[in-house]
Amino acid sequence: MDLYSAVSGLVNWVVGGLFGLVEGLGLRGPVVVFLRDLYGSLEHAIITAVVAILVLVVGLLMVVLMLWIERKLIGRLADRRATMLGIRGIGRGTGAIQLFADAIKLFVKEDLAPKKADRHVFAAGPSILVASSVLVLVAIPMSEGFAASDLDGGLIFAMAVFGFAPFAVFLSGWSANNKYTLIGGMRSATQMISCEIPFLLSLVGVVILAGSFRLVDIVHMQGELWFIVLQPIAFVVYFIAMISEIERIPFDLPEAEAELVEGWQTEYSGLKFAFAMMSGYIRGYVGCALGVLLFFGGWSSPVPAYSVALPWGGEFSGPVPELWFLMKVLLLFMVLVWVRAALGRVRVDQIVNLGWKRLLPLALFNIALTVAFLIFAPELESDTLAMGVAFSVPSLFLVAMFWKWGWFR
Amino acid sequence: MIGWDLLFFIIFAAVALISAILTLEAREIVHSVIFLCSTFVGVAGLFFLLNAEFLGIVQILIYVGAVTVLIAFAIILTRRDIMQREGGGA
Amino acid sequence: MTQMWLNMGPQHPATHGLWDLFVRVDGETIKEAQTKIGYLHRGVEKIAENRTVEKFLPLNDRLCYVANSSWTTLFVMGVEELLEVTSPERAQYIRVIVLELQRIASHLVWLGAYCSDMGLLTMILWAWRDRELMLDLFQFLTGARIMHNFPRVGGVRNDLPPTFRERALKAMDYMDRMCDEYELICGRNELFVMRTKGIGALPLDRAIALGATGPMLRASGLERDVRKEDPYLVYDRLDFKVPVGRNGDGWDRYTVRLEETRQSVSLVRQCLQKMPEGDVMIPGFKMPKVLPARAVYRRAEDPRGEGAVYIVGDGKTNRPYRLKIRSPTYIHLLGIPHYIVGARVSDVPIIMGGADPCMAEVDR
Repeated sequence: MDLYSAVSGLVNWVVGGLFGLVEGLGLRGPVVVFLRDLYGSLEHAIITAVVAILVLVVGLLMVVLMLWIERKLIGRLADRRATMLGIRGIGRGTGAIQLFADAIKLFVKEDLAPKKADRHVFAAGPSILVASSVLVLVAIPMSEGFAASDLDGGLIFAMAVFGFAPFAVFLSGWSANNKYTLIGGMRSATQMISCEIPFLLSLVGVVILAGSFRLVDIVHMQGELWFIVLQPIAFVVYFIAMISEIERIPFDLPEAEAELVEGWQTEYSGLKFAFAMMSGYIRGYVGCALGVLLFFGGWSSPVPAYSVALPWGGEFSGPVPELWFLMKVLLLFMVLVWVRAALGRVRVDQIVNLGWKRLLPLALFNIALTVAFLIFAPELESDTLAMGVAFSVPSLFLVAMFWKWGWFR
Repeated sequence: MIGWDLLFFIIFAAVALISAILTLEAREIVHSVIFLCSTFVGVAGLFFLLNAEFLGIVQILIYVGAVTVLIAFAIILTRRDIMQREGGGA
Repeated sequence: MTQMWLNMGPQHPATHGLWDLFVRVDGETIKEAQTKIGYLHRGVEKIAENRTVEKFLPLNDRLCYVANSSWTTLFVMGVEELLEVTSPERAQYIRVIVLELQRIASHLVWLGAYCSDMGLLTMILWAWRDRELMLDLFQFLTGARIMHNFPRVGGVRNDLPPTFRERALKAMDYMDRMCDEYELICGRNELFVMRTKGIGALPLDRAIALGATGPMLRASGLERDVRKEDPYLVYDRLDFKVPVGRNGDGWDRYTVRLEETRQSVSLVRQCLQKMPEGDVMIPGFKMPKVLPARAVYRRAEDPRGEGAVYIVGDGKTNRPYRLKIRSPTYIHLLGIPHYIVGARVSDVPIIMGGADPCMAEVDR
């Protein structure tokens, strides 16, 4: 059952119940008839809106959860006592209230803009950023049913909208009329130019193997073997380029707080800053979700199929696929947090070098490898294990050798 | 009664046309880039409306995502001074 | 590309104090740099001329908020040389312990700030966490965590507390372990190496020409340490190595300072072992009413380089006629605009941090 039919069933049940109640009370007349007609013509729009809100709410809840996990985890990695213990009082020890306190603080703060800023563009920057980040959520299915849309080109749509943020960052950096924000915006453009192409090319191998741009198809193709085994190089390139796309340490050059105060966010305060920060985490969620969909089998269960008879009848055969998906996303996000705690920030010329001289050849090489295997060893396709070994061993060996030669430096 | 299709066609076409005019009219070069971007978005919307999903996606991917950033990058590389007004400094 | 003048200071997260640096950038590359010094000027040297030596002692702690005791000890050593008195041996050992603990604490602060300049925020928390141990030891020994005001003309204020030795040895063992861990998170960190190797490189001849001393000079490859070549206190009786770098870039500055931390740990251990029993003040010593009409120049190895005091007595009062403080970072900072040109904006905090600026001491 997909999300639309479930939601439309629910909405129709509620609305039908309401109308039944109204008519049961004996209220009949032109107004009720008009309302019924209105509902009939707007039914599709209402259901779409409910689905959209549902997807958005799930995305935002994930953002809150990721923020909380990041704070807790980085607190432990960096030995910060306060985040480890949480605030005393309400929500003792979990520190969950802190997130909402931060949100409330940002919402009630005064919204300042520099005097000489280009006000419209200044306000448009974070808005475009959040809009484009949220738009990606449309393309991301959480399971076969739980998807807002099922585009044939879902993957490429997600990539297209995902790559839109640097422009918004550049706009906000330019509009604040501040030198630090301007340099931050310039860096964002530079970073996008250097990492967007390897980012897209790293997916080509996966798409060739899956034979489709539909994310549901890609996940189905990983039923027996996750693509991380078949495409290790693609995952390395994807992961590095994804960190650069979502602008986290080690690639958070546009907001490098050491030299650029707060980069392109310097002049933002209050709600706009909250938007900027929120979009960063939404993009983090989207990046991790795409990584899970493409390389870690999406919502498929990592454990072999099993079923346990429950004492109250029925049987339990693992949690719902959406839960597996979210758990995998959070695990991948924890790797990001770990990277953040362990690494510093690269320089601008280094990220250009990395993108053009390291990641791009690697991604192209991966495509060539994939095509070569499909051409010269098509009989391997029937045996997943042999295929996995044949793909991953040479690729991993190659990556290890590159690492050893200091090629990534 | 106007159909949804027509309504959205008018919206997207208007966005594309007005932004195209504003691209030429804007005084700040960065504003021109913004309007150019919005023109591309309008055209992508038209493609979606014509059920050419893939074309629309590629329009967003290449024109909105890449070309505008490339133009912005070109502005950075060529202009000596792209701050709107000189905001002080030594 | 876009050219503009960019302020890196005084109110800027990159500066480790209130230092003005203006850089003219072409896109990201620095074409020109200017520096301005004196934002934090307090006229400490002039204040000294109007105060007796005892009254000026606590102000020495305020010279540098990271390595307080090293300046007080230096001033006290200068005054002792002026008065031609020698403090008891035990006091000298205690002073060395305080100096070396101070060096460890100072280098930890530097390491944390240096790493946070390149976004490695884990390190700043680790370094400051371990610095707390040094501060705890200071609190145990002197009663204060930052402003100790511990050395006195003719000795030190008090003897070691009863269990200080055990606590200090325990802390030193911990520091030895942690130095290896810093090596893991910084030295073996690909990104740390990427960001520091070749950044702000200062060849030996230029380092000498710009008047660099201390870790900055040693990173460029000259083995020069005041503790070795002009031994003061009991450094000639202690065994330690002077680490030396090769290229004088950010990486060498890191390795030199980390190795110095290790050497300081071993120095504290040696002091605690070799320390004789006895007085910590010259018995019956009283500060004379008149400073002799002479001038002394005493130098010492500050954590940042070669610090020195030049004290002139006038033979009439117990106030110095003139006090001149030579601050090593003052000279390092004035050199930075010369070798920062050609670097990127991202390198500014690393080059700046490599000099380990302590603005209170620079602007005095």
